[in-house]
Amino acid sequence: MVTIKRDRYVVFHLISDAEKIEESIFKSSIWRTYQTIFGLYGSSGAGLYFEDYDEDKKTGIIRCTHTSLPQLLTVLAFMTEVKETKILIQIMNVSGTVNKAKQILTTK
Amino acid sequence: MSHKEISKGNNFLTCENYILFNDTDEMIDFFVIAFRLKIPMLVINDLTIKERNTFLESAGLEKFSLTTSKLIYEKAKSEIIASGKLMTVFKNFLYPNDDRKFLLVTRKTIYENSIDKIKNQLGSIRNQYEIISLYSKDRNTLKWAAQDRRIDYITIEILENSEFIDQSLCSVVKQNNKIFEIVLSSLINTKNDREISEVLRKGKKLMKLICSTNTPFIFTMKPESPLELRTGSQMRLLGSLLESSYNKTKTCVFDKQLEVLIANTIKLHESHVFEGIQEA
Repeated sequence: MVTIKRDRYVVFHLISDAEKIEESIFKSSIWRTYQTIFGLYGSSGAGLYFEDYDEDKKTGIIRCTHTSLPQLLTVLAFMTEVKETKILIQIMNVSGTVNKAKQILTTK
Repeated sequence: MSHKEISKGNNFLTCENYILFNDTDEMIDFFVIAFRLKIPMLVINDLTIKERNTFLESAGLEKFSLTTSKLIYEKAKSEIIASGKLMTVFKNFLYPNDDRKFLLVTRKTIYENSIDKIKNQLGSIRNQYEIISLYSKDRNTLKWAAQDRRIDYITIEILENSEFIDQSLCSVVKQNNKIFEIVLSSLINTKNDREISEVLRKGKKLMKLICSTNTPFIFTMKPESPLELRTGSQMRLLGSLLESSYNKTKTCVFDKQLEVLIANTIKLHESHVFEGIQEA
C-alpha cells in the first residue's frame, strides 16, 4: 500500500481591482476560509505552504498534499474577498513539481 | 479524482447561464474576465434577441468577436445536414477560445407564483428570448411549469425555494425533459458561518433528492459582478460541497445548456416557422 503523501503545486493568479494584496493578509484569508469549510482537522492535514507569491503581479504557488488538492481548489473557488477587497482566484495550473510550477508562473 | 483531471478542468468549455446585466461598461468587464477564465458562452438575463443584436453592433466591443447561436447555425447548416453533429459544430466553433470569441445568448427568468400570470407573461414574451426559466415559490406552479413546453429551466435558489422541490416534482421534470438550474451564488455570497451551514444543509438535502431521482440539473453562479464568475471546474468543485459527485457533474456546466440552446435556436429559426403561423 502506498502511504507517501505526494505534493501538488497550485499556480494561481489573483484578479482584483486593488493594485496590491499583501501576502500575509492573503495567507490568513486562505487559512480562515479553509477552516470555515473543512475545519481545523482538515486544514491541519492539508499540508498548505505558500511557495511563492508576487504582490505586484498577484500570482503565486501554493503547495498541498495530493489528497487535499480538491479541497484546496474548492477553497480557492469559494473565496470572494480579502479584507473587503473583492477578488477572484484563477487557477492557472496544477503541477507535481515545484520547478514545473515556477516555469508555468514565469511563462504565463 | 487526480490532479490531472482538475488541471485539465481549465480546458473544459463553460457556460455562465445567468448574468445580470446592468450597463455596457460592466458587460465589457464580464467579457475580459470571461476570456481569462475561458468561458465562451454567456447567457444574459432580461435582454431580448433584438436588444442583443443592437448591443452586438454597439461601440467598445471591437476587441471581442461576439456571435449568436443563429449565426453559427446558419454558417454551419450545410455541414450539419451532412454530418448530423450539431453539438460538435458549436463546440468546435467555441474551442479553443484564443481569439476572444463569445457566444451571447438571451434569457428571461419569470418570477411568479400564479399560473395565470405566468401564462400572460409567456404570451407577451413569445419568440423574444432564446431561453426561458421560471422561479417560483409555489409547488403547483412548479409542477405546471415542468409540463409546459415553453419553459426550459426551473431555477432553484438554495436558501429561498429549495424546500418546494419534492420527489413528485423531480419525476415530472425528468419525464418532460426539463432541467433544474441550481444557483450557487448563495454559497459564496453568504456573510457568516451560520448562513454557510444553512446553505450547505439545504443544498445537500436538495442534491440528494435530485441525484436519487436522476433528474437533470445544471449549475450557475448568477454573477452580479464579473468577479463572481467561476470556471466550470470551479462550479463543479463548489457543487461537490453539496455532495454531488465531481465526476457526475461533467455535463452540468456546458453540455446541457448547449443542448437546450441548440434546440431553441432551431425552433426560433425562420426556416422552422411555417408561413401559416408566422406573426405579422
